[in-house]
Amino acid sequence: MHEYTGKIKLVIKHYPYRYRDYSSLAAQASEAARAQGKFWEMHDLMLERKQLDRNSLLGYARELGLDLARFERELDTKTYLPRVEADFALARKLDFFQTPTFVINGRLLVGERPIEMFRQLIDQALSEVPK
Amino acid sequence: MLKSLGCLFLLLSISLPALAKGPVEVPLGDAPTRGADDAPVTMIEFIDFQ
Repeated sequence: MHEYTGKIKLVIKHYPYRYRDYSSLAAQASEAARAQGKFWEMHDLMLERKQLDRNSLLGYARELGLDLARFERELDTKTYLPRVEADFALARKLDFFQTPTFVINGRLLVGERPIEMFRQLIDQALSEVPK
Repeated sequence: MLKSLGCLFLLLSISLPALAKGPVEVPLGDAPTRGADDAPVTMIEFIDFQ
């Protein structure tokens, strides 16, 4: 997607499914990393490694050079749970029923889709932008 | 007759707003972002890491 550099802003909202073991914990961990300026690094690590239990998350935090005591404390006291739950409530309010769900300039794209579908929607959105 | 008209009205009043639904508006708040702030396209991803 490098051809779109400068043309796309990616925004992340959390939608941790309740019935999954580590969804909410992982979302909170990403916010705890964000508080230390490493959201995207943590985001990338979690998606790459896929292990999301507490110990793995602490391992990632260590790997990223985060203040581990702070990270652990914020995870254990659920500092970022309200933020994650607010996103969750928003997704529910919008009737989203699957992750990932993408909204590209107001248009919905639900589920893991081939890159071509993204290109199509992005190109369409770009063509509609007033010059 | 009246009853079926009533049913039709009810069905229409439920389905028409759904059909007329325009672009999805998502308040961004202070969500994490990547890329240029003034980019013409905003892609919001609702993510579950698991």
